[in-house]
Amino acid sequence: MSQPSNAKLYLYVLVLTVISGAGLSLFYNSLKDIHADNKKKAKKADILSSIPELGKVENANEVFKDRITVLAVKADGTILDKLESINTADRLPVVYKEMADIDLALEDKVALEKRIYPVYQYKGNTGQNFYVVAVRGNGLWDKIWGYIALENDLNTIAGIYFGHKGETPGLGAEIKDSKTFKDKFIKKQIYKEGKYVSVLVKKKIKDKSHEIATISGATVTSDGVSEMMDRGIKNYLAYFDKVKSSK
Amino acid sequence: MAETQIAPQTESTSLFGAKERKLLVDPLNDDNPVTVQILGVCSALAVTSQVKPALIMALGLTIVTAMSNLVISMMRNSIPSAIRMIVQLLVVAALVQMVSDVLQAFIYDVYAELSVFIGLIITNCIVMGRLEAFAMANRPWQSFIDGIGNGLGYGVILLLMATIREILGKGTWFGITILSTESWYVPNNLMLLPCASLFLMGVIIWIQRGFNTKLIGKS
Amino acid sequence: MDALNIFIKAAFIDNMILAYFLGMCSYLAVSKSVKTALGLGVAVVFVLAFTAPVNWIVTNKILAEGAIIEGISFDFLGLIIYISVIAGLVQFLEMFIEKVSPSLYSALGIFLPLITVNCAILGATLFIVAREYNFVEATAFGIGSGVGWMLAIVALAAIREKLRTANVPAPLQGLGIAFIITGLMGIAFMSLLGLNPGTYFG
Repeated sequence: MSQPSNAKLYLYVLVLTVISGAGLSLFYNSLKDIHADNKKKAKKADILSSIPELGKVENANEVFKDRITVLAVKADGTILDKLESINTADRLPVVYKEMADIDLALEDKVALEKRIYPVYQYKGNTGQNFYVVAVRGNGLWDKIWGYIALENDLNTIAGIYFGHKGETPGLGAEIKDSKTFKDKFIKKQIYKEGKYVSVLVKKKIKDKSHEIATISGATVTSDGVSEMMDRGIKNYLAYFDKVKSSK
Repeated sequence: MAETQIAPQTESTSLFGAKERKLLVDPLNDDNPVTVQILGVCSALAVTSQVKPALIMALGLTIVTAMSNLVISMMRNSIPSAIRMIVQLLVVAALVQMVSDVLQAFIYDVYAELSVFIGLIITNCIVMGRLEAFAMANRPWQSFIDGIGNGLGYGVILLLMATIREILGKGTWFGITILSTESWYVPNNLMLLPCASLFLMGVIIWIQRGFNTKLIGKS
Repeated sequence: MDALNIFIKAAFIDNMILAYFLGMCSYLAVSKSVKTALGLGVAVVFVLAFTAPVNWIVTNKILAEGAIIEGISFDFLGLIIYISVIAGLVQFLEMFIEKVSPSLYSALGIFLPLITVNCAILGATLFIVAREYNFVEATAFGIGSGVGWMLAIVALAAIREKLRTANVPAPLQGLGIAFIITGLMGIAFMSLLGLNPGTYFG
C-alpha cells in the first residue's frame, strides 16, 4: 500500500474518531436513563438476595419499597435518616436523590471522616428482621463489593451477596456465581467472645465459626474478600453498639 | 509483513464453495488458533476452570471475531497502514461497546452475565490476529467465514480443557455432579490452577501432533 | 509501599507470566531463540514503561469524574482509550524496529503488532487502576512488570535452546514442551506468591 500523506492520515484518524466517538456517546447518552434504572433495580435485587427468606426476587423495586428502610450511619455511630442531613455542602460533589441511592463507590470521593455507610433494615413476614450492611474493596482486576445480612443479634451472618466488576470467570468470579462459596458464610459470626474478628477467608481454617476456605486458583480475589469484610464491617461497629445498647 | 503477501482471492463462483469450506474447517484442527497459531492462550488458561464460562467465552469470541473481520475487511482498502492497529482496535472496541450498551439497556440480566467477558474478548489476540493475518487482505464474506472458523477452533480447545479441568478439579461438568465429591472423590485442586491448564495444553498439543504429524516442527 | 518495593514485587514475585499467566501468546511463540526473545522483551518493557504512566494520567486526569467537565465521568470509555494508547505506542515501535533492525522485525512477525493486545500490558493498566497506585508507583509497576516479563521470556528461550539437543518425543517438541516447562516454572513461582519485599528491603 502506498503511504498517504500526513495530512490524509490525520484527516482519517480525525474522521474515524469523530464517527466512533459520536456514535458511542449517542448510544451511551440515549440509553443512559434506561441503564440507570436497570442498575438501580439490579442493586435492589442484589441487596434482597442476601436475605435468606426471599428466593429470587422478580419485582425488586416493589419488595424493596415494602420491606426495607434505609438509614445511613457514620463510622462514629451517628445515625442519619434524612436526606437533608446527608446532602450537606461539605460532602459535595456527592448528592443523593433518595436514600436507596447511597453508594459506597461515590462515598470514596468524600473525606474519610465525613463518609456515610448505608444500613438496610429488612422487616420480614414472620417478624424476623435483618440488618444488611454494605462493603466494598479490591479484587484482582477491579472493584468487588458485597451486602451482608446480619441476624437480629448483629453477630450472626444470615446471608450474603458479592458482586464484582471484572474478576476472572470460573475463578475470582466465583465469589458472585458460586452459591457454595456464599453459603459458607451463613451462620458464621463476626464477634468472638464479644470482640470483633470479622469473617476471614483463609487457606487453612483454624476457627470454624469465623473463617471460611479460599477459592482454589483465586487467591488474590479471596484475599480481597477477606480484607473487604474486615475493613468494611468495622465502619458499622459503633452503630451496632448503639443498637445493642438501646435494645 | 506476512499478511500483505497473501494474494487477493479470485472471485469464487458460489457463496460456499470449497474455499469457504476450507476456511471453516481448517481452524478446527490443521490451523487451530490456540494449538497451532498460538493465539488466545491467556484466556484459554483463565476461563477454562469450568465449562460454563468457557462456553460463553467461546460463543462471544466467535461472534466478535466474525463481525470485526467483516467490518475491517470492508474497510481494508481505505485504512492507511501506518495507523492500522489503532483503527482496527478502535473499530472492534467501539462495536463491542455499542453492543454492550444495548444489552445493558434492554436485556440487563444477560449484560450482567456477560460484562466481565467484554474486556477479555476485545483483548483476545485471536480477534486482532485474524484481522492482521486475514481480514486486511481478503474480501468480506471470506473474512466472515474465517472469523467463524477460528472462533469454533478456539471453542473446541476451550471446551475440551474446561471439561477435563472441571471434572477432575470439582467433580462436576456444567455444574452437574459427575464424580461425587461428598462420597468418594477427592477433587484435585491443582486442576483449578492455571499451571494445570498449561500441562493440559501441552498434552493436548502432544496428542494432536501425534495424530496430525504434518504439524510437527511448526512454531 | 514505596516505588522500589513495587518494582521488585512486580518483576520477581507477582511476575506477569509466571504468577498471573498474562501475555502467554507471544511468550510461547517468540521464545525459540534468546536473541529474538530479548528483542521482544525489550519492546514490552518499553511499551509498559510508557503506557503505565500515560494510562495513569488518562485515568486520573481525563476519565475521572469532574476531571474535564464537572459531574461527568468518562469511565465508560476507559477500556477503549487504554487500548488506543497502547496501540499508538506499539505502532510507533513497529515503525522504529522496522527501520533499525529488519531482521528482528521479520523474526517477530505478527507478534509485534500483537503486543497491542498482549494481556500483560492491558493487565498492568487495569492492575494500576484497581490498586489505586500514585503516578510514581504506577511507573515503577509498569517498568517492573516489563522487566519481569522480559526475564521470564529470556529464561524460557534459554531453556528451549538447550532442549533442542534433548530427546523429546517428536509431537511434543517445540510448542508442547514449552507449555509444560512454563507450567513447571509457574508451580515453582507459586511458592513466592504473597511475599512482601518490604520485609526484606526495608
